[in-house]
Amino acid sequence: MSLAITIRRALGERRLEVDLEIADGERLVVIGPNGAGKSSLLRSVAGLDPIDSGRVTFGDEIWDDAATGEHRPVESRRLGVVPQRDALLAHLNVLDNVAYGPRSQGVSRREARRRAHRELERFHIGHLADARPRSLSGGEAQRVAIARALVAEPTALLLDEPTSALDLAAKAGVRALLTAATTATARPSLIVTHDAVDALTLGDRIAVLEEGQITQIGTGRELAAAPRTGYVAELLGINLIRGSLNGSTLTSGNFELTVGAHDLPGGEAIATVRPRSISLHRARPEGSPRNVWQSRISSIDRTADRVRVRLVDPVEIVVELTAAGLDAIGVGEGGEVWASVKASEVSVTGG
Amino acid sequence: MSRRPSTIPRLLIVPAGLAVALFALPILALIARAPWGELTSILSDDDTGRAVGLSLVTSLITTGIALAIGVPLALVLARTRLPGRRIILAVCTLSMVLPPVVAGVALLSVLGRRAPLGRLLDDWFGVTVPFTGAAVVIAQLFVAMPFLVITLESALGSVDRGPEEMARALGARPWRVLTTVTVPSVRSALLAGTVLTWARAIGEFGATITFAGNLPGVTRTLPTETYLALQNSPDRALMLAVIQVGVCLAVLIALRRRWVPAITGGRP
Repeated sequence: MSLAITIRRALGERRLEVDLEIADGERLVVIGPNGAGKSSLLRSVAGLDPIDSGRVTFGDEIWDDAATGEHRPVESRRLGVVPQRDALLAHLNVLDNVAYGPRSQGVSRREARRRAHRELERFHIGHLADARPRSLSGGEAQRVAIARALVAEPTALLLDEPTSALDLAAKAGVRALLTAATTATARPSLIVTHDAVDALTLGDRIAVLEEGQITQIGTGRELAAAPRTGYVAELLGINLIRGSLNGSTLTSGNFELTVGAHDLPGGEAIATVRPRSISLHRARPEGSPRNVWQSRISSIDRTADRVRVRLVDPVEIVVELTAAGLDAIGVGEGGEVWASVKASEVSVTGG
Repeated sequence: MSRRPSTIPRLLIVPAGLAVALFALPILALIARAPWGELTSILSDDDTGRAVGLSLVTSLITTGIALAIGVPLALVLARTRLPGRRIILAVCTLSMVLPPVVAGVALLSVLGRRAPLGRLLDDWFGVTVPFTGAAVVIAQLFVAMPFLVITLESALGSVDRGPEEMARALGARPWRVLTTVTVPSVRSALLAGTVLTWARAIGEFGATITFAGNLPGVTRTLPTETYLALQNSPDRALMLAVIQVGVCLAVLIALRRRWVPAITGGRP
């Protein structure tokens, strides 16, 4: 069943005005800068904060209707919620934390623990069952929180910055776990984040929330290709290149990229490159950049004084430069250009 | 644990030492002057037995009632937007700063036989509260329960609400959230408040003697017994005092391990 959200709510000086619909099995990411109202949105969808006007419905269940005053309290929405951090109850061990949801819904202690065990095993963290939350690392605690959110077969998943409190290596693990946990299910997921990599890897669609308003919504590719605000361009306009990392070289198909300093062990990884850090040239450039390759321009998007050029073959990449810069190169759509980027401008994160 | 080098003026050691002397000297003097030879005879005499028994029973009943109504009061004050909650909190904790004898007079003025509520109870049910065991408990509650309420209310006000919200999101209803999350999260404060309330109750004297009198075996608690003993057998008073110091010390030591987190706010 789909989650339909229409929320109007005062947020200090500003207003939160959001209309979203999340389909069955869809992962919708809401991304925005700090203070945009992301957490307030999530709290209102959960039923923890009241709305001034609007409606929140799940299928034909009315969760909130400001017009009629109808309100289904959070404990009756059967949600799976994963907060940014400190999700676990400190005085219970991991197993009882995961069993807490089923227990609250009236399942016997024995059965709740059995289900909790099965869920922990599913995420390969069965060995943590007896551990106290305080003794877990950030990544382990977040895995447990995800297992706990999923154990009771929730109607919908609400994730509040699920990776932002983690270090780089733990981020990758939790992201992979979330991807696995939200793929091929019928439930809608709402993921709030300010991390572009989270948004691009987890989101089927991305909604951009700025100052309480949705400024753009679409797939990551759509947003990256034609960002409508400076924030979107800056944040989501980054290029992601998936590949396998070996030392300082990331290989993606027949494309090789030399990346900047990192402390990842290697294996599956994602390289991120900002469109502005790539230069275009008519002929093969001389000099220091470690990454130089020849490519073809598939499209040119002139929005303002900046121009976004999409390159294809051997790799899809967006380059941003000034209109004057592009004119100086003098190559149009379909033409061949040389691209270059310094290794230090290419950062990697776990895939 | 390593100590950081001192950063306070050395001269402060003098007033600090004076403060320590103020607390330590009377206790030491008490122990030195007590007639230890009479310990067994005083402990085994009927008057002492009755007073000790009454003090233990009434202070434990007081502590039980304080938990039953004081914990809900703290929850209501800390977790609702009741209008005038600040004023209610002030009224409910005023007795902490009142002279206990004033508390006793105040209780008499509502429950005394000629007072409005006292007369109603007498006319309708033939119940007289003053100068009974019930009066002892009411006097103790009046002066001791605020310690529980104020300790718990401030802990509830400062505890992170995140875990409670998570519990609700997981489907826990209000009673379950209260018993499995809220109460465990303020466990140290609850324990500290309970101990403070019990200690204040078992030591209560002024309000008790004013409101409940000193009928042997009925309302004559250990502090009253001690005060009366001072008039005619000071040695006995000394010995009773030492016994009470011993009981309080034993409780403090027994609870020390669990009690420390409440004070330091950290781990044991």
